Amino acid sequence: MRSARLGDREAFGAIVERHGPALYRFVRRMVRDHGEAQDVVQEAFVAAWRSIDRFDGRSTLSTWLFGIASHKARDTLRRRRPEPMDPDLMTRPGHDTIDRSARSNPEEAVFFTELAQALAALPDRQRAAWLLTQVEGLTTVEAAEALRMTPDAVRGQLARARVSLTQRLEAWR
Amino acid sequence: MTTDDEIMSRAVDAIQDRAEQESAEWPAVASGVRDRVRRSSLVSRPVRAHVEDLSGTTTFTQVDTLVVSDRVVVDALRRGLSGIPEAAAETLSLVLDGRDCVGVRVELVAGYGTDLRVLGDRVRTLVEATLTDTLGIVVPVDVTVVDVVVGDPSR
Repeated sequence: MRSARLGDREAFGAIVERHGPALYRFVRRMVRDHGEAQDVVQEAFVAAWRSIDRFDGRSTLSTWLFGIASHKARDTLRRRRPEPMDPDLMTRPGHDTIDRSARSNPEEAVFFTELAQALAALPDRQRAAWLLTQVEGLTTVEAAEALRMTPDAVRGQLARARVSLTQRLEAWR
Repeated sequence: MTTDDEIMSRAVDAIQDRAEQESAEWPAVASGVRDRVRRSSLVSRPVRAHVEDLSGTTTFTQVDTLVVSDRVVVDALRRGLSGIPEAAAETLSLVLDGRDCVGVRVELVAGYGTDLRVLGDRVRTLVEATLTDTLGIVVPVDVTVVDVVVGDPSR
């Protein structure tokens, strides 16, 4: 970390290897497209590389990187032209499709597809707050730092996300 | 009847179960990230180098100007300091007056039990030698030990 802050590309490469997979998973769930997720993660790491000398250690490196990635992902989503929800969206290649797991556990694969649709229908901030805390294991305070919100605002987003998701997954009770 | 908690727990499990599948996509993404980082330059500042003229004295160049990026100097300092295992640089910066380097600030994290006075002298000597090599100058070097840690200070 110290070497990366001083401009050592090799040391920064180690940071990419360590934190990249989680960042990519998060971004992929945010933008729901492999190609766009790839671009967003690249942009996020380039931004991190250019500003790492200003990383002051007040948050963890992971939280700081999630913050940059989240900002870039939401920028990408904002730039997209608004379009009506396509019912086939989640079954196209590149999205969360019923794939390998469908063969081994068809019911779980259908559940996953419906969950992906339910997540896609959440507002961006709710989806980000839910993914960061429930899937990536950030605390509410860390998610608040990453999303530039107060912890109370994150709790509010999480409560609303939970209501929406349980309603959309009602059939699985 | 499945509770809300159970539905949420199943949702999290379902996403985490996909992690392995998505990890298979990571190497291609990582390769793109490494490429982009390699091609992206960092903000740098020009620093005037001093060259030895034919009479053997060291002066500012008046006609031919040699300017070096401060990144080049900081990289050289970082590489040099990485050879001192009992300390790690936290901050390395050139103090500039316009394009002239008038000083160097080094902040160090030292390993527990290191003789800090000896360490400071060693770092100062190394920085002075690096500056002579890259910029042809000797300037005041301000070395501060900002932390002492148990174990490898570069971690």
